[in-house]
Amino acid sequence: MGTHMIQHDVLIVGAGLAGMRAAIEAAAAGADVALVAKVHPVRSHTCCAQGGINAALGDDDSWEAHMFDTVKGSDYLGDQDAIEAMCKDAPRDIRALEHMGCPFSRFEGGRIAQRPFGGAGFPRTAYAADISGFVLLHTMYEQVVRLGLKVYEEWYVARLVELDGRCAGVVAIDLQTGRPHAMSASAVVLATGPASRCYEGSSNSVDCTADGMGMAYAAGLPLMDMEFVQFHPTGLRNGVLITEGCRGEGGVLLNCNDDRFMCEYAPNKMELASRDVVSRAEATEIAEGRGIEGFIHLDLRPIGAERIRTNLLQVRELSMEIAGVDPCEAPIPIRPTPHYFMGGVKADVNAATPLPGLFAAGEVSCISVHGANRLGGNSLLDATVFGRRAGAAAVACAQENGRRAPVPESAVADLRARIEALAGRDGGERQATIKEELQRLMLADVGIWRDKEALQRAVSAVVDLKERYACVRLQHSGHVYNTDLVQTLETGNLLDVAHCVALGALNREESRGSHARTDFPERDDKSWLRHSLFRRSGDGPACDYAPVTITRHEPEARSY
Amino acid sequence: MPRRTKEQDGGAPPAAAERPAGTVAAAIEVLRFDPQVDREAHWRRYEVELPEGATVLEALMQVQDHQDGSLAFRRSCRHAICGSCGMRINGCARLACNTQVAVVAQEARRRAAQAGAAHAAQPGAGGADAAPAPIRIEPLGNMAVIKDLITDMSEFWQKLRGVQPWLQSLDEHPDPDYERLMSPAGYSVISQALLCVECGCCYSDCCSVEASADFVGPTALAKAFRYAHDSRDDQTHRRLFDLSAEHGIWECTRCYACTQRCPKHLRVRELITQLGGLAYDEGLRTDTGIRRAAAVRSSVLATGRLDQARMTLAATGPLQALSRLPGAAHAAITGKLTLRPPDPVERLEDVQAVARAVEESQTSGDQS
Repeated sequence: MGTHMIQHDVLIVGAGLAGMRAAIEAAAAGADVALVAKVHPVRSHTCCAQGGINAALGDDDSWEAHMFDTVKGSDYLGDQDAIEAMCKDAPRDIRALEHMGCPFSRFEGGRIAQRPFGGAGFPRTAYAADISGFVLLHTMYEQVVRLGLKVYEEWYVARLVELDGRCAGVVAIDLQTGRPHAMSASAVVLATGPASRCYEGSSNSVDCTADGMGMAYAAGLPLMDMEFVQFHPTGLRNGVLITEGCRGEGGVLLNCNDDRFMCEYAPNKMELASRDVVSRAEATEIAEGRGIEGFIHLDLRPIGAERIRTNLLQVRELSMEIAGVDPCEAPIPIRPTPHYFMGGVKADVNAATPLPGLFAAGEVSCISVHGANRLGGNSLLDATVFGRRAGAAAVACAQENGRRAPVPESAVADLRARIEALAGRDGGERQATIKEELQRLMLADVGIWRDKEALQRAVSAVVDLKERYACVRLQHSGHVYNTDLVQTLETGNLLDVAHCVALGALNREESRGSHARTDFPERDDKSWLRHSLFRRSGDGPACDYAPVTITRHEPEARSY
Repeated sequence: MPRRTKEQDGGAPPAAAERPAGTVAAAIEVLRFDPQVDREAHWRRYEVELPEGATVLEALMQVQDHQDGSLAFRRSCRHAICGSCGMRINGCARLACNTQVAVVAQEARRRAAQAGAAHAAQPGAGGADAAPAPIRIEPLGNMAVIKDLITDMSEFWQKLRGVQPWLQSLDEHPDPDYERLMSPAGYSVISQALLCVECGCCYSDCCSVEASADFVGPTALAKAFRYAHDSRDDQTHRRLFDLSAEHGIWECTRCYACTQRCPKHLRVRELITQLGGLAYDEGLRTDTGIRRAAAVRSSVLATGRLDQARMTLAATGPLQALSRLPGAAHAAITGKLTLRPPDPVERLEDVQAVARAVEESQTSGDQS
């Protein structure tokens, strides 16, 4: 090829909060670190997180209480060793973010302000107005700039490369030139974020296309607990979110009779029950004819106009721009929206995956701190804590193993051949047609309420779509920023991941957390207090199970 | 929701009567450029039909998905927080994701009608064109184009990095179990500047960047404001020293395009004004721009008028002023410059009161 070889101690795929936190930690340990991401770091999906990040900072709060809330929120499917690690690390990790310069909103005395969030027994969510993820993301990028770290911006990582039983690196396409490159590293951290774009109406950025999960799955790694997909209770008509912070600040949910219907579903916590509970309540109200043209009203007027304008400024603008409603004057029409994957690439408390040399952190991973349902404010925390841990573990791994054989040129040739095959194909459909069908069927048949018939239909529809995808064609074969090519590769990842979601949902014959089966409405700890694993086998996933780690809290009935 | 699309280039949008209720149809023209095949950029027209309330970004995504897969643009979050989809729409830099199709379609029609009326007023001109005026979409300005609406933002990022946008404090090892304190008022001072999504819209339409490619630009200055005013940062003086150099604060021409364009409604030019004020207060008064500003102030306070000759002298110093003598002489001969100090205006005390009120409102503005 005549190009210089790309090689680093630690290569981090994805430059959102988890990826950059990992990079900063690895750089601090003296490693040669680089980030590779398909968008500029500040464009990453972390910027969409509005509400905040949880930690027991208060003198009268404790990591034990945070842990209990998280375990209960997970409907007892979360691994308690991992949850303990996260909740114990949280206060120092948040203060480390503050020391790096993150601007948090403050209490009168100058301490970091915290607000109540769903499923929490204490106002434990630190925040920056309603732009919490955004300021964290920018703070991380500014540290990456300060440290002078190499960022391969707008490179699309297409596959992982395994060599002699270890992860040797990746193959990535430089989008500006269209050229595939081998990128070798002693340790690789996957931090590519979400997958909810396999659903119609998702809250996720358009770029959240399951790339990391897809490439791990393609490499034979296990994905875990994929059937658990969180629906956020307050999405606007186009999926854009209105933060849970609104309810934390005192906003209420109303049906068409102006009743605070949450008193029927969660009389103690009301609007601040956990997300699965609130989303199901809304779906029930709408299904039983108490919605408002398919929506529920989120009324912020109890908060008061002044506080809305300071603490919920972006929420107000989004509501006015998208719903045409000023929340200081009228309620916002909202509905449940596909939002977050509790599942992902299986990893341990140090973010290590079963493939030596490969780590995973943030939403792409399943370290299982969220179990069957994530609490609001725990995803930024997950990304921060396990991003840091992944960075440290990746450096240790790189130091232990030293430089290994680089990614072979044949891996690059394979990708080039795949691209040429796509570009040279006649007939077939474009990716957008297939993706749109996938998104519709996932929302219709693998949504909030699930049953055997719909799930069987969904699984066979996904299999059909995968067959059609095998004949997908590109409309454009240029080299420079070929977005048609990138989206076609992304759609392949969405299909693989959706297959796992639908199959996992069909297999799990119980209701737990976000997974609600109308034909199996009860939680069944005897048969189903276990993780699901999905490994690639031929054209579809082979399913397996793994035990849940329980240390402090035995499962008990869950109500709010 | 399935969306109907016109497959053919240049096809007329369906008449309102045929369209499903709650949809909007529009024509868009995109400035296309593919470095692999094009020598220069060219316009390409598409017809789109979208749900009411749809954004320009949704229109472009529909084109990309169902008409023309070769069209390239950046996008991600769809709600004006990631900053990806900055582009010029009807000549103004905006985020495609918070610009509604219906609004800019009407804007395009209105402008075409005005242009048509002006054109028709000329002798021999034809009547107004019957085809609806398209929404015109181009890449951001002040940047090179890579492909279609994707620009090379590397200089933009370079300038942003140049203001050292990270917290700097001599206290490098704070106690890991305590956060540094900051008052709610301290947060609110920087809360507006924090909202900058670094989309490049202000930079695109900044006439100072256009005139002087080395000008640091409004985005970097907004970022500089955020750190200069962060109560935890103790390098404010050094930051302001750097920003008071050539191509810094004082190269802004105060055209206010940045404030007008900002999709997050930041009052960018006011942030730059406050940075300048802070630099002045810190005694950083060597730059021509700041000396001119100081001379304007004292001239207005003394006479209520601009004493241009002395302003120039104060701003440039005697040596530089000598080099400007030929120009000054020409201006004096043509009556554009009077060398005699101006007489005070009538009711000078009113002018002075206004000036004092402005200054007071700006210092109290820091707190609000």
